[in-house]
Amino acid sequence: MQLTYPHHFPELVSSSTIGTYAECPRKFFLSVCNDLRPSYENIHFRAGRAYADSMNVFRRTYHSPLSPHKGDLEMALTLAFKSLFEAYAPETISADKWETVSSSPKSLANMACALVATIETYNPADPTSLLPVVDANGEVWAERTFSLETQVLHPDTGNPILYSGRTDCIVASSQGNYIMDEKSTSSMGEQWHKQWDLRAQFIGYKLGFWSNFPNLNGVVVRGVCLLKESIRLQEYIVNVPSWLVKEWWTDLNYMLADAVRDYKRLHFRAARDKACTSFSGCDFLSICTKAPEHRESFIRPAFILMRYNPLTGEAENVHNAGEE
Amino acid sequence: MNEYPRIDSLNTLINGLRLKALRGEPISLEEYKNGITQIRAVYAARKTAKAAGEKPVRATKTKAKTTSVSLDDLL
Repeated sequence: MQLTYPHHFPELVSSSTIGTYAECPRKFFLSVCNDLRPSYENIHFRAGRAYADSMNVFRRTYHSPLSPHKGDLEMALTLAFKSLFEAYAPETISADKWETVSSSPKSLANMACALVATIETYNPADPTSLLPVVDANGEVWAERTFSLETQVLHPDTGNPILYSGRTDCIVASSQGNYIMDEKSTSSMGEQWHKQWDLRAQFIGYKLGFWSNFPNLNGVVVRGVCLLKESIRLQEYIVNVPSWLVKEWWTDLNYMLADAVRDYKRLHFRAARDKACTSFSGCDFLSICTKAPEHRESFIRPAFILMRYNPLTGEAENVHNAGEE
Repeated sequence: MNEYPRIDSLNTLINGLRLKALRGEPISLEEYKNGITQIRAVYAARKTAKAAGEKPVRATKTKAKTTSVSLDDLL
């Protein structure tokens, strides 16, 4: 599939972009190489980003010795709520959509309640809780990034492609250090924890932060289940053994080499399988179901060009796909 | 049997802050502090109610009527 949009191969990949390639190479081409994103508002992304921002503000305010409000629960929660509100930016949601958003599980009221529930359940004043690591400089290890040089060279620049990631926080326990990763979900059944044991994102975290924390054992997944009028929390520990890191790194490099091969020959095959319809359906389903000569005309009104930076967690609007 | 306090009772607080933001008015730290205090109070009341064995509220299908205010109405 070819488009007239300028495409590129990313210099920086993450577990999310590589996961997209594993799921469907064509989806990787459209979303990562062409920077195409659906133009409709995604409330899940907005709410998740706002919650992560607020937790980061809380941790830095409450735990850092550099903070004027260290140990002040009320002020740390106030600043976290301010951050949640500002990142959610309810004033940018139109009046007609606001009513629907306000009654959804990702409403701002529900997210604020989830923030309070998390802080009060995992008491930050309790020394036996999993608390963020604070280094000798007084810096809290929250929202930290890493990048590693892979063995695969970029097809245009010839530089090693970087694998990067960004963690919510690193915590200390009597058993060693763990990465803390908060996951919001709309359902948390008996099997919720089973999805994490081989999660590539977590294996990458271990490799990425291993040099900083030689006693890094793995990841604590903190699930925040948001339902309308109900919030549930659950933690699950994923230990990541070194053999798994080694096996994953080999596979990652092979997969990246495959993606570079596809880019050079300009053919990214389409999966045409469960990836097309899983969850709420692939964003590009409406494109792949059209004949090749009509696809670009369907892309123009429905997508924008936006590049995601895994190091900052921010998406940058390149320009509208409909613009000439 | 009583029911848990509803989370969406906080929508009045949230809508008030949203309207200020829509008008471009600054929201003071005191307002955020009052806001988080209300949120904590609802959360605490829900915990207490749950511990007392009260019934959770079921999400209703009928939506409460809200008044939509556009930016044009405010300015």
